Amino acid sequence: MNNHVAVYTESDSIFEQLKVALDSSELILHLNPTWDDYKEEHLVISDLLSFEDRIDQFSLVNKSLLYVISPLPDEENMRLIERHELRHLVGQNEQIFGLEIADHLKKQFASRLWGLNPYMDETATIKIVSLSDSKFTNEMIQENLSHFDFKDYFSSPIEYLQVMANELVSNSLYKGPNRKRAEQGLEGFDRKSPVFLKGADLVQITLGMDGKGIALSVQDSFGGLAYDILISSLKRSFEEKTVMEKKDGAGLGLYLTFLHSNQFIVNFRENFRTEVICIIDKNKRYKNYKQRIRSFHFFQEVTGEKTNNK
Amino acid sequence: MKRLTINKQILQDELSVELIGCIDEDSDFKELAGLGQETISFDFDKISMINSCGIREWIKFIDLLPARCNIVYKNCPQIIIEQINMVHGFFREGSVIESFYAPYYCDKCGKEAKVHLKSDTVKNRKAPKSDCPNCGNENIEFDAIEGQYFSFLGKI
Repeated sequence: MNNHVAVYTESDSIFEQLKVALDSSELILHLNPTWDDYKEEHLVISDLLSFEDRIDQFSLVNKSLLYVISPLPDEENMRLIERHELRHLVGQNEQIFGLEIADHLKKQFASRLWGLNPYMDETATIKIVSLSDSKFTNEMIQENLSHFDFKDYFSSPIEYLQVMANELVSNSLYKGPNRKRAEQGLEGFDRKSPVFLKGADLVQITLGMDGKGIALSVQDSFGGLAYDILISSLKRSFEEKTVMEKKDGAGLGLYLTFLHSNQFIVNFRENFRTEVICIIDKNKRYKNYKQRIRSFHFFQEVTGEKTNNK
Repeated sequence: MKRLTINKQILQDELSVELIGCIDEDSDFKELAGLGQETISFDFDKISMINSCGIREWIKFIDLLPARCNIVYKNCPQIIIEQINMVHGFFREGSVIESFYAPYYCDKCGKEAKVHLKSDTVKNRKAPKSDCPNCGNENIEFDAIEGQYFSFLGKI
């Protein structure tokens, strides 16, 4: 990966917003470069129209280096992600999408995959909680949320953050150990049974707030949420909008978490670690929160690749 | 977080049920099964949270209620309205949503208000007028996307 970024768009406004957002970075933007000049290691940012125009060419791009900016509603964006196996779909929210892409590109270039640091400034308030069992998780989340000041927010983020944390922690506490038990031919735990993690296994919740928004990270030491599993769960929920009769969940947790986030980010290393990060922008209006097109990012660390563990 | 408490009161042919706390995987509606009232009304006013397993427990429970039973949803907070809009089965076809809360925003005092609305005051999915309960400012702005927030009314 080098520091040249190919931007495909016919919109001057999109290119200008990206230029401003990436001004302080060392990245060099090229507007609509000829495809022959494209190098495999380049990052590519495209708006939806250019993406659809060049769909055959884009199918050859390394998906982890491709960012598509879309103005479509969430349901259609989910179909787009699934159909083209996209790792980065950025909601085309004016004055926001450029900064959002800048955060993600900086993260990618710094190989700083894990944690909230790429999304929070130095003044951020951060709270970290580690869990090794399913007792009192809601109370712990509630207690930690009480340390943050939500006066610049609409009134519901606390309710949403509680639900998101509850869903993600439950996924980590049950699905990780159940996958291990299934491999050993043992029956999995259901959500009514208490779970105690063994040894070094734990689930870490991090909450962070800065001048831009509030972020929740739930990180586990199982690494079970592969791209295909995630997409298949979201696709089913978006299409069917129904609960499932499974022992370790109702099949809707990721869907609800996605819909309550403004940015939904997954960091993943197979059989090692999964981190789900949900960001809600600072915003006094519930309407703006609901109108914002959600963004989706999936980062995968491959074995042998070193990333800064901050 | 408070586990679910169920308070019930029998008023002739109606069973009035107040739900308090969090609806989750541990919520047990068994005590309401087998009661023979024609109408069951559920008051959701004091529900603080509902998670995906709670949604499943709820759907399983209402699926078991006899088809002849009239179900009434009262005082649904925003989190319940969102579940009704996002998840099929949370609201049983033919049921009634009598009242619910909706978000409004007052530009004058800069505060959000959850305004209690009767379903029959919402016409063509347009939010009814409301005054600010904090400062009295008249005709404050509805603070959600009307077509989206009121989409549950199409299910009634």
